[in-house]
Amino acid sequence: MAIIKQTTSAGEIGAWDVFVYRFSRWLRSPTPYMAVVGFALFFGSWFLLSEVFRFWRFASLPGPRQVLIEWFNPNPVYGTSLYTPDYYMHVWMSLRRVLIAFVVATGLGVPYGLFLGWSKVFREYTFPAFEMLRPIPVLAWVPLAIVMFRGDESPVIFLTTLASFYATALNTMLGVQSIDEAYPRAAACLGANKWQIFRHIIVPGALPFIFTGLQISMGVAWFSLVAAEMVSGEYGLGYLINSSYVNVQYPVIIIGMMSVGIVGYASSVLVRLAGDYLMQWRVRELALGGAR
Amino acid sequence: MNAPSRMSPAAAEQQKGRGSVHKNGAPRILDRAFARLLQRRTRFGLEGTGAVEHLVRASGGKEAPAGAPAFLVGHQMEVAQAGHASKGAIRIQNVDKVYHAREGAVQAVLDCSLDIRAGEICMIVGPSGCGKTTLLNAIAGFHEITGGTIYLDDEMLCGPDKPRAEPGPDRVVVFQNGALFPWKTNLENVTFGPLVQGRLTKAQAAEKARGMMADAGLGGVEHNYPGEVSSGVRRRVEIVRALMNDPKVLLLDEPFRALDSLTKSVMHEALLEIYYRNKVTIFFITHDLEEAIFLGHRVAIMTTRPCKPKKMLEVDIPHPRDYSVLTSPRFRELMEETVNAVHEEAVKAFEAGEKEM
Repeated sequence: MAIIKQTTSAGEIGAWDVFVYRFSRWLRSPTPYMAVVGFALFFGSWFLLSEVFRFWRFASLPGPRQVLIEWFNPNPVYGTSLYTPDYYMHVWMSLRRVLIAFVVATGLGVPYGLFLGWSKVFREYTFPAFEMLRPIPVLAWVPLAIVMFRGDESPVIFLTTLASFYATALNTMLGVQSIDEAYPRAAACLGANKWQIFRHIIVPGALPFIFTGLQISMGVAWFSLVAAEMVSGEYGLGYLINSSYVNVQYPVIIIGMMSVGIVGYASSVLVRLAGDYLMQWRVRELALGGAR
Repeated sequence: MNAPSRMSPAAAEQQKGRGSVHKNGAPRILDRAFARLLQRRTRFGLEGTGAVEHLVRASGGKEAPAGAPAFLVGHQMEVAQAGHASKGAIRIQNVDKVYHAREGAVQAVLDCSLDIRAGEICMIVGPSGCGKTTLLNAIAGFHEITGGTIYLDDEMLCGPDKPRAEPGPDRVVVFQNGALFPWKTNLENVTFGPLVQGRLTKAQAAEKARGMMADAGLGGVEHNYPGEVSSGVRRRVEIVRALMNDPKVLLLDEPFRALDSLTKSVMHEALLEIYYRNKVTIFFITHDLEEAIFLGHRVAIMTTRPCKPKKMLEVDIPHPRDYSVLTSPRFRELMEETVNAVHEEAVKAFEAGEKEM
C-alpha cells in the first residue's frame, strides 16, 4: 500500500482512487438498487409462472427454486452442482477457450482494424472479402472447422474466435475513421512522421471504439462458444447444456445457462475496467461532466 | 522531414536570458521616461509618434527598461514593433486553388498574392467560405494548390512542381476547434513537438514546457487532461504547444471563435503577451473585425470566393497594445473602414449563397 501511495504523486489520481470513488458513488446512487429490483421482478415472475401457477408452457420448465436447490445441493440429483468437480471443469474449459479465442481475436482484429482504417489501399484490397465472410454464421463454419483443425480444442477455439475477430476489427476500423482530421494534421505540423502519428494519434484516438469492440467481442465469444461446444467437445458449459437436454436433466440446462450468463457478464466488466484503466483521460473528463 | 536543430541561436539566447533582464539596462532617465510614456500611451491610447520606437532603439533595442510592463522583457521590445524579426516572411504569389466538388469545379482562390512580413501579426478577414482556410491549408501543407507559389523566407513551400507543401514545425497551426490530443495531458501535449522531432530529451522538453506554460499563466494545469480545463485554457495550451517548436510562423484559424466574449478578450491580451515574448509571424484568420484591428499590424480584407486580397489595412496603432485601444478614436476610424470593405463582400457572398467549405 505504501508503494502505491509513493508512486501516485500529488495531483495525479491513481486508477485505484478512481475505482474507490466511483464505487462509493455507485453505492449511493439508485443504480444498484434498481438492478436488484429488476432481478427480483425477473426471478419472481419466473417463480410464479413455473412453480406457483404452472402456467401453460411454463409447466415443464424448472422453476428458480428447483434450480437453486439443485445448484447448491451437496448431493445433486442430476450429478451437477457447486459441490461437484465436474461443474468447475465445465466452467474452466469454457473460460479457457473464450480467453484464448478473445486474445487471438484481439491480437489479430485490432491491428487489422487499425490498418483498415489507416490505409485506404489496404482497406480497398481486403475489406470487400472481409465483408463477404462476415455475415456467414458461426454454425455454418462448423463442418469446415472440424475438417481443418485436428483435436477437440482447436475447432472450438477457431469457431469462437471468428465472430469476435469481426466485431473487434470492424469497431477498430470505425474508431480510426472517427478520429478528428485535425489531430493527425496537428501532429504532422508538430513534426511527427507517419509512424509517430500512427502510434501517438491513431492508436489512442481509436481506443474508445476499440474497447466498445472488445466488449461486443467478449459477448459474441460466449455466444459462439456455446454454439461450438454443442457441436463438438466433451467439456464446457455448452456441452453441459446440450448433454443435459439429451439426458432430460432440465435443471442442469438452466444451471449451465445461468453460469454462462454470470461468467460472461463478469468478463465484460473486466474488459470495461481494463478500458477505463487505459483511458484515464476519458474517465476524468466524464467525471467532470464532460467538458468537451 | 529533414529538420535538424531547429532551435535558433536567438531562441536559445532568449531561453537563457530570461530572468537576467535588467542587468545591463539603458540609462535610468531613459527608463523612467519610457515607463511614463508607456503608461500614458496605454492610458489614453495615444497613437505612435515614433518616440517609443526611438527610445527602444536608444536603449539598445534589446532590453526593456525597468518599470516597463512585466511582459516586456528580454528581446520583446524589438519584436513589439513589426518587421524586426529576420525570419518568417510568407510570400504568396498568384496562388490558385480549384476544388473538385460534386457540383463541379469550384474556384476557391484565384490569383491571390499576399506578402506577410516577418514578425508581424497579419489578420485575414473575409466572408464565410471565401477561401481563407484554403490559403492556410496550403501554407500548412494540408492541401495542394493548383497554381502559383508560396515562399517561406527564401524557401519555396509549394509551387508548380510541388503542389503540396510538407507540414512541418516551422509553420504550426492552431485549429478552429482546437486539436489538443485529449489522451495526452497538457504537459505531454506541449512536449509532443520537440519529442517527436527528437530535438530535446524528455527532461529538457518538460523543463522548457514548464517554463513556457508558467509564463503563459498555465502553471497549475500541466497534469490535467485537456478535457478537464476550460476552453480558454485549452487554447492557450495549444498556442504554447505550437511555440515550443520555435516556429517561424503561427497559423491561427479562428482560434477564439468558440469562446465567449469575456474569455475572448482575455485571450487576446494573452496572445499579445505571448507574441511579445516570442518572435514569430502570425497569420490569423478571423471573422471578428474588432479582434482583427486590436491584434493585427495589418488586416488583409479578402474578397468573397474566389479569394484574393481586396484591401490591405495598416493598423497604425503602436504595439504593445492593451484593451484601452478599443476606445481610441483611431480604432473607431479603422473599424469603420474595415466594416465598409467587409460588408460589401459579405453581401456579395450572401447573395451568391455560398456555404462554408
